[in-house]
Amino acid sequence: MQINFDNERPIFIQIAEWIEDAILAGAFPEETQIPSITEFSVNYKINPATALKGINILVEEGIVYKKRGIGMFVAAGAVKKLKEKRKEQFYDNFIRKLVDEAKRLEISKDEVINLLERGYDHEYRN
Amino acid sequence: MSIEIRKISKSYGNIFALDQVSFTFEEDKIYGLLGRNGAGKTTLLNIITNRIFPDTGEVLIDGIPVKENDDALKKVYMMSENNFYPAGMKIKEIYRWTKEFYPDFDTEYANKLADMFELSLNKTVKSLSTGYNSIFKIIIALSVNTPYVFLDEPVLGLDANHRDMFYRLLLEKYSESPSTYVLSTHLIEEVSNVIEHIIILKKGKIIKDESREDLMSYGYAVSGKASLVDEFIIDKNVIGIDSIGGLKSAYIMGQVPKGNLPEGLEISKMDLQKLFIKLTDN
Amino acid sequence: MRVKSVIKYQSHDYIKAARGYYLTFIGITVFFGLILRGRGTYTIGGYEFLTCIFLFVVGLSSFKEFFLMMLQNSISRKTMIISKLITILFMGLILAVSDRIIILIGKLLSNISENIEILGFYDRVFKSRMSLLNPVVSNLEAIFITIFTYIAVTLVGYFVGIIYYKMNKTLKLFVSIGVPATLFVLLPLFDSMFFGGNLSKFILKAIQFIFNGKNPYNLLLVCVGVIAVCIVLCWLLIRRAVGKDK
Repeated sequence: MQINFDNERPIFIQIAEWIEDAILAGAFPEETQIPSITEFSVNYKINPATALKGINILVEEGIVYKKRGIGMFVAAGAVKKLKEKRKEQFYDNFIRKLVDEAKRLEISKDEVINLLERGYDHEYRN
Repeated sequence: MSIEIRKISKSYGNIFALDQVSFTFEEDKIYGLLGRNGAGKTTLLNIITNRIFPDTGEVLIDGIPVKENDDALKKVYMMSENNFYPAGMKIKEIYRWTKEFYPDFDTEYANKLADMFELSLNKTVKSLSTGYNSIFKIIIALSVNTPYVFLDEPVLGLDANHRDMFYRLLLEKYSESPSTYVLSTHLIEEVSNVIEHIIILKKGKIIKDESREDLMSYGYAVSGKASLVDEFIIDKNVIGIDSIGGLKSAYIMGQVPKGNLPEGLEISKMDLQKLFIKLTDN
Repeated sequence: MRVKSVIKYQSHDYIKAARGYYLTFIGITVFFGLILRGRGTYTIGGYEFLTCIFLFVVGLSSFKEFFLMMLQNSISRKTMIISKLITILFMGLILAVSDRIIILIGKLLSNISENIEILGFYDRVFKSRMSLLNPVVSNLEAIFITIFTYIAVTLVGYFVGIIYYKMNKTLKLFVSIGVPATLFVLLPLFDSMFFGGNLSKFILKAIQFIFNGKNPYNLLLVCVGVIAVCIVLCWLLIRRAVGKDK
């Protein structure tokens, strides 16, 4: 499982997002254990303090929790929480960028809607 | 519990190898001591480990002055390019004597690492290649279990596989039993994610002493048409400029500006190596 | 304690060297003994002299490797020199005792066989002294004096070793050629030209004083003096010595 770190955002945020993605994709089901700090650190060659910081973000948001003496587990209801969080971010992360780019390329709103429909159709056919 | 460097100066002739250097190595952190060749890193490390003496200033380990003090010195171990081990000694003998001088040396772990690196313990120091010379010293550094471990250019001569192995082993070791590790190197990108705190030396002076996150969070590059860039950077702390034709990139230390940029300008973050280069360029 | 560890390390090296030395010596003795059986006499006099050369060379050659190894293991120079001195003391003691034993065995062999004659340097020089005292006391005294001699010789070697370490290549060359040249060529020359041979006479007198057959304590005095001076000089040189990877 690869993480490609970019320079744009702090590493610990990218770690948190990677774990969130994995949870949403079902790779870490609820109430199962996620890799330990050491495993993250060694496998992705990042400082453990950084890995810890990333995981702590998720702890604060209630996405994962710590079982003493055992490790970190995905909380019940994490998937739902994440979907809601991502929905809120959807507008900022995707829609605005889409609209900006469309405007830059002078694609009209109707054309964008057509493209969206094409996109949804495509998904089902695959 | 820390190593305090207080106003260390060292000059050779008219040149200041180190000029009033002061900072602290805290416990259980991985540090990057970065600097160009000749910046003074090795001189500083040699002073901390009592191999050479400063002109002025002092180094305190957990409150005890290092100079000629065995109680302080037994808390540090340094591996460096220098070969101070007897040329004719076998590696397993070196392990044995290291254990004698550093009682917390984990021989079993060292043997395991030797296996992993495919290092034969019966070889003598002088029969090792540059790479394996570094390897046997890295193994000792990882097995010695002192509160402070210094690694001066640890991956000299190591192939990519061994370098990768080293960083993983370091992180694993650090996670399981933390100590303070100081990686002194000019290979910036490799160590960038491994280190927690950065100290940058330039011509004998400390120019940066911050956590990697802080340092990275306020460095960015702004690029676009030259005239636009010039206008933008008027009130900024510019540490370097690249230009090609009519396009310019300016490297800035400061908070990334929020809100909308003027049209035609793009902002990107700098990686540590770029940041380092711009900070230490002449 | 670190002093103990350093002594252990140093002794390990020294003992290895001493073992080699003794094996070589015994080997040569046995070899010649076998060859010359019934065919001639085989005399070894001044056996301690050999040991002195051995110790001087050991002292000389041990500095650099030892110093660097100690730096690598973060040992203070203070601990280095204290441990060194203790080790040299023990070595002097052990070698003095074993040499005396070898000489006594040798005397026994000399009495038994007609071909072999093994004498000690000490016994030859201080013959008159030894004849005055009963055998046990004289041998114990011999050991006592020899210990100091051995320590002094080792320390001189060590001191030279440190000086050599601190010198760069050209200086080393200069000294290696210059010192013997001065001692064995220039000095006698100057002596005959300017001092009318008085210098040589003085040196001769000094040697006679030291190796006075009736009184080994002149030798002891000189040795103690040499030891004291060497210790001071060695400490002064070591305390500012730095690690060099030449």
